[in-house]
Formats: sequence, C-alpha cells, structure tokens
Amino acid sequence: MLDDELVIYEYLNAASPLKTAIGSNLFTNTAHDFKGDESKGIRFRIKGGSSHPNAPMESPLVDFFCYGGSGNEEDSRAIYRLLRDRLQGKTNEETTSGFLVSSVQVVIGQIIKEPDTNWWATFTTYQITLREKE
Amino acid sequence: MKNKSAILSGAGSFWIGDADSEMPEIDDNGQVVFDSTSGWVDVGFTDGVSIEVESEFQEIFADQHLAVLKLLLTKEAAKVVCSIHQRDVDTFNLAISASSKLVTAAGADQPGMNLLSIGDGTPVEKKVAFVGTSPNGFARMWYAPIAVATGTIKYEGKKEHTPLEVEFMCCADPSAPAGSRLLQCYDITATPTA
Repeated sequence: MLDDELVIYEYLNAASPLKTAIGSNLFTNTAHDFKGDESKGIRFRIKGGSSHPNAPMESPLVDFFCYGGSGNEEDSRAIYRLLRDRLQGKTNEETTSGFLVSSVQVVIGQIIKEPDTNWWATFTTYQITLREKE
Repeated sequence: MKNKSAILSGAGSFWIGDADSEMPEIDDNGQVVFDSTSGWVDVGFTDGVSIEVESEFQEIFADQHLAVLKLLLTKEAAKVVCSIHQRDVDTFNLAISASSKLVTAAGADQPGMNLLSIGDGTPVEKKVAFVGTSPNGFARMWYAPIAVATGTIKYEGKKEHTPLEVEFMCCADPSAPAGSRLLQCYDITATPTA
C-alpha cells in the first residue's frame, strides 16, 4: 500500500543540506508544537492530484510551507531554495517505504504571511509521482 | 509478470561521440563511464530523449489461405530525437551532419571566435548514447554505434527560449553480430562479484 506522505517525508528527511537546515522540523499537515517564527522547518500537505488506474502509481499535488524561524521572510525563502535543490527535477529515488518516480515544481515559491499564525512562510507546490516498492 | 521496479522515470543524459570513440565502459558501481578524451560529449540540459525503432514487414499470402501466412522483416530503422537547451556552436555542430567548427583564439586585431560553417560538407558519422536508470537502480544505456544527424535544425532567434530539436538516424554497424548492428540497450542488473 502506497503512503504518499510517508514516501515524501522519508525522501526529505534523508541527509541533505535541507535536512541539516531544518533538523527534525519536517511535518505533514498540522505541525503540533512547532513555531515557524522560532524555528526553521517545513510543513507539507497533499491538496489533490491523480491516481493511475492501471499502474501502482499516484501523482499528488503537494503544497509546501517553508519557515525561516526567527528571521524575516527572506529566511523562509532560503529554506524554500534548499527544498527546491532537493526536489526539483529529481527522478528514480528509492526510500524505505516507496519510490519517487519524478518531482516537478508546478508553483514557484511565493512569500506569504500566514493569517492564522502571522508567520512568514514561502509557499510552493510540486507534482510528485510515486509508486509502491516491489 | 508484474514488476513495480520497472516503473521508472526515463530521464538521463545524452552523449555524442566521434565515430572512433571508445565504447563507454561499465564501472564496478554499475554506472556508465565515458572517456571524454576519446571524443564523447555530454550535450547538457535536455528535455529528454525519445528513441524510436521502426520495423516494416511484407505480408506473405498463399492461394490456399485468406489470412497472412508469414511476415517478412523488410526494413529496420532506429531514430534518436532530443531537445537540447544549450545553444552554443558546439551543439549546432553536433546537430548538423555536414557542418564544421573552427576555433580562433583572440590575438592582435583578431577577436576570438567560434565559426560554424555549413554547406557542401561531408556528413559525419557519430556514436550516440543515452544513459538513464535501470530497474535495478544501476545504469541503463541505449547505445548506437553509428548515427548521423539527419533532423531539420531550426535556429529560432526570438525572445522566448526554445530548445534545439536534434535527430539522429542510426546505421547498421557491419562489424557487429547480426541482430545487434543498429541499437543496443544495456540494463545493468548487478555489480561485479569480485
């Protein structure tokens, strides 16, 4: 069974400059006990996409919210750039529970101020094609 | 047999070599290694490659049967098509079969320049290779020992960036065994055992 969020989490949580920058502050959906105006981190959620009817693949659209911690909005953009280096154009990457076939950025990063929290964030969207492992 | 591992992205890198370039080697990590000193060039940023193999057959009938009795293979053709984003003279020279490139260094009253010349030249045979990923996570290499740039090269001098569409027709290599003279795909399944 393919768990899209888990595969994406595993891929982003592996050693990389992004992982070095955000540490364990990588969350799906609600980021409990995390404050984007205090720590660097990323929250992501699946907002749509498609599932292949004949092959064990899915292509979710994934929103990422990048937080820069106590700095200003430009610090959130720095995290966004590390995410782009990690995800954009990547193909054929295996994780513990699945396989990332391809990843394409479909919405380029834009700085926002989250209305509920008042945190600066850089928002971006990727279409990520995933499949089950053998 | 259903094999999830064979569901892959086809992305990879496209290489063009001289006619006498050494065939790329497979290293101990299951990856393809090109000897750039033997004429291989990575064409750089591309939108990927499409490889087409076309087979033509002649239908054989006999009086006693209405249906086709046999199909005879009468023609085989292989074509490699690639969209290249780099628009330097080296790329144009690779993409046009009978072109030539002359490099002039800067000197007194002489600007440095690359000169691409086209017209009444001799078509140049190349080798082409496309390297991606095999289902086992090692290299996959499509390799054509003889290929000639045959496509229509369209230089578009406009504001929007447009990639250069290049096309190579593969030719049979008479020195290779029958059945493998046009194109080969090497899928690395494992690294050497020793």
